[in-house]
Amino acid sequence: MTDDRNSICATDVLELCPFSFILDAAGRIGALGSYYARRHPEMHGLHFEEAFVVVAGGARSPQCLDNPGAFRSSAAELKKRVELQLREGDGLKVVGAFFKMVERQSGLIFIGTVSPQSISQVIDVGLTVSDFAPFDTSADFVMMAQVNEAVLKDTRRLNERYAAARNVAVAAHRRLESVALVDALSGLGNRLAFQRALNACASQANPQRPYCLMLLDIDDFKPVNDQHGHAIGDLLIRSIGERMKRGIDRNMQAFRIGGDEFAVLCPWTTPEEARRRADDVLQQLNVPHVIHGKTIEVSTSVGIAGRLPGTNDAERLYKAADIALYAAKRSSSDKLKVFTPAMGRQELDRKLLERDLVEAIETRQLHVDVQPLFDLQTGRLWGGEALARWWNRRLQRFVPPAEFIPIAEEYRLIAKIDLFVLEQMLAAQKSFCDGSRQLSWSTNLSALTLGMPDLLSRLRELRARFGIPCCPVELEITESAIFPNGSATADLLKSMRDMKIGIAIDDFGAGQTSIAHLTALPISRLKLDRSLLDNIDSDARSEKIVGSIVALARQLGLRVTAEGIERASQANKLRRMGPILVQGFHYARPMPLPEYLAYLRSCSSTPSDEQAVAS
Amino acid sequence: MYGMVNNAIRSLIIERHGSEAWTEVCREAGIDRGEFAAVLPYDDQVSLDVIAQSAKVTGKSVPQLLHDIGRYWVGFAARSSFGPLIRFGGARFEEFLGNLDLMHSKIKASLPELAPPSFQMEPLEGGLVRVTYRSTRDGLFPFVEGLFEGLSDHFHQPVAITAFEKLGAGSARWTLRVGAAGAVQPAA
Repeated sequence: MTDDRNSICATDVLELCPFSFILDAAGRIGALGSYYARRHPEMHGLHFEEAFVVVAGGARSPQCLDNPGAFRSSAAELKKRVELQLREGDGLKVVGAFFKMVERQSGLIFIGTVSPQSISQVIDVGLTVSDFAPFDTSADFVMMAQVNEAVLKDTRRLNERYAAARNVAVAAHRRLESVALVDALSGLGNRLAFQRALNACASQANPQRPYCLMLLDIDDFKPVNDQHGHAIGDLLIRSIGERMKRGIDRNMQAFRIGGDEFAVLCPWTTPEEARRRADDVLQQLNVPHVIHGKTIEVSTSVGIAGRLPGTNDAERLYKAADIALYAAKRSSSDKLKVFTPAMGRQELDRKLLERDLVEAIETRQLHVDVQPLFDLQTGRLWGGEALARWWNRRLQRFVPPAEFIPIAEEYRLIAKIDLFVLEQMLAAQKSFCDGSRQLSWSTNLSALTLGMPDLLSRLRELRARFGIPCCPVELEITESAIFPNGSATADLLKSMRDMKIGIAIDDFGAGQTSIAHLTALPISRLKLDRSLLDNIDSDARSEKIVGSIVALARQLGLRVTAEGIERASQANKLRRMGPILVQGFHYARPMPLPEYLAYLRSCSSTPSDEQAVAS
Repeated sequence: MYGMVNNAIRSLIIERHGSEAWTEVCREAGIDRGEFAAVLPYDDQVSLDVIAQSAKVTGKSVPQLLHDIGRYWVGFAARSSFGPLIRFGGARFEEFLGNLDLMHSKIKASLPELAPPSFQMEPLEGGLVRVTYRSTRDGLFPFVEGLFEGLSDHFHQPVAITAFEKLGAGSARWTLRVGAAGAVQPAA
């Protein structure tokens, strides 16, 4: 009995399904679908097995095909998926099923399409979308697969191009980074490289492995630039960089981290080893540098810190090395210091002192002492130098100027102190201004104060408050503050002169004075450095030098002050040199301002003011 | 348009007018890239600027250049990653053009920002076919006519335009006489 549910109209199928064919009752291939008819017409008349191999599937039973009579009895085999491949030809696998035909009592029709496994071959064998039945999703599948493959190819190409571009960019970035990490002048790593290396060293360091940081600072590098020019200064830095490279071990890294600051990172190194290595480096650096025929000597300060117990903190290590470096810089004899906890405490003390000083300035806790100056020839009081004094409430003691002035200079507080003292001094001279005696008043002005852009306006403010001084007023300025700054300083000093403010050169003879400047600048007095006077009573050479300076000053119309006079023998030597002003403990110690004012009022016309004070 | 279109223009200009001409086109068009990612969409204005500047640099009118690009496009696409798909589209001019909408719909599944034109094929008597073209873009008729020539080259079939009728801003209808395959010899 025929099962119509398995029957189909062959004519329609052959028209619609390119991968279809008919088998007659003998198993021979009859009519073909469009693809087979177009591409493989030679199949016609062949026995199924001559043309096809059954690759897989439920209807692969040869008996079924060899015995068409069995078709009727093997209906269960029909419509089962079967996969065929031509024995010769395109290699395509076609998947489908055999069906009975409505119009025929015998024979079968195969309806199939390209197996998904053959998709990649479809286009290669020349199939087009037209070769598929309109409802055959295999064609859609082929197109989708091809589109995706094309997109994938282009995406891969795009990625490769991006990867290549990225590689180029990374290489360029690395080149730039290497440039960015090198200090062009010295050839050493720069500050950025140093920070990275220090952080890496700190973060990777095994607690059991020592490592050290060495900081180096070229002392007085600025004068090299000032004296020889920046080109020579640059070459000096290069020379220092080369020597540092030679001086350090292979596992150490040297960096230039500032204008004249260097660092050496010393992995696997104890502070003792680092100290020995630093000694070697210092020996190298201290050999005079010959640059463009000029011999330049530099001294270097070194601070070393080893990994602090229980911490890998790079910042603390740097701070510790920095503290050691500053200790070395402040020391006149030992230019190489290894950090100790005591140094840290000193630094803490210094920090506390700095805080106290800020508070003292803001709350006007400072006060003024005045040390009298005398005319050595007449013994009469000539004037007084106003000096800043500080009673520290926290410490309950006077802090010597030698202790707080450097802090004030380092933290840019000195200008406030200078102006405070000047203000106190001007107020005092005004209160004492009786017109009977023209006593001189002077006070110090630091280089930092001299460099204040609004200094003149501040001085004008003070003049507006206290009026034009009735007594001579002088500002004592060190040689190093006056001379390097050229015409700007000269103009400033002339403006001060126009305001009736005299200029005394402080510590004269200790620095690098140009005699030519003495005539070019409006200077009224030279104050000899005490180092020239210390041995004047025992050293004939000192006596001659001072005598020459006094004679030169006299020729130039300048007064001379000898400070730090503590012995009569010093005064005796000076007395022979002509008119000189003297100042020192031998004559009078500094005294609080009110006491000085009282003293001024008391000594009107005594034969010798100096004796009055000394007594 | 997808970068592949811009790349086709670039390839055409470099191939026929040299890389310096393309550099000048880029400079004039204000684009800094010499090459485009084929499967990434770009603003239509980029393509329009490139076409306008290419016409200026090559001394051709925009329609002439569009025609050249259309003709060049088929070969360019066939050489691209989409080449197999072109082959799958058909073995003859009219078959390919008839399948183009179907193919575009499949491509759009992977390139969703594709805004392809539509080509409807209608066989007429006497070996003629009528192609109705509809596009969201205006002014590309010369490109389409170049495309016909490109397909003619590709399938080695003679194609002649016998009638043209503009239907709207981006729509037109051509009547073509399409010869048998092999009637045109492939270029040496």
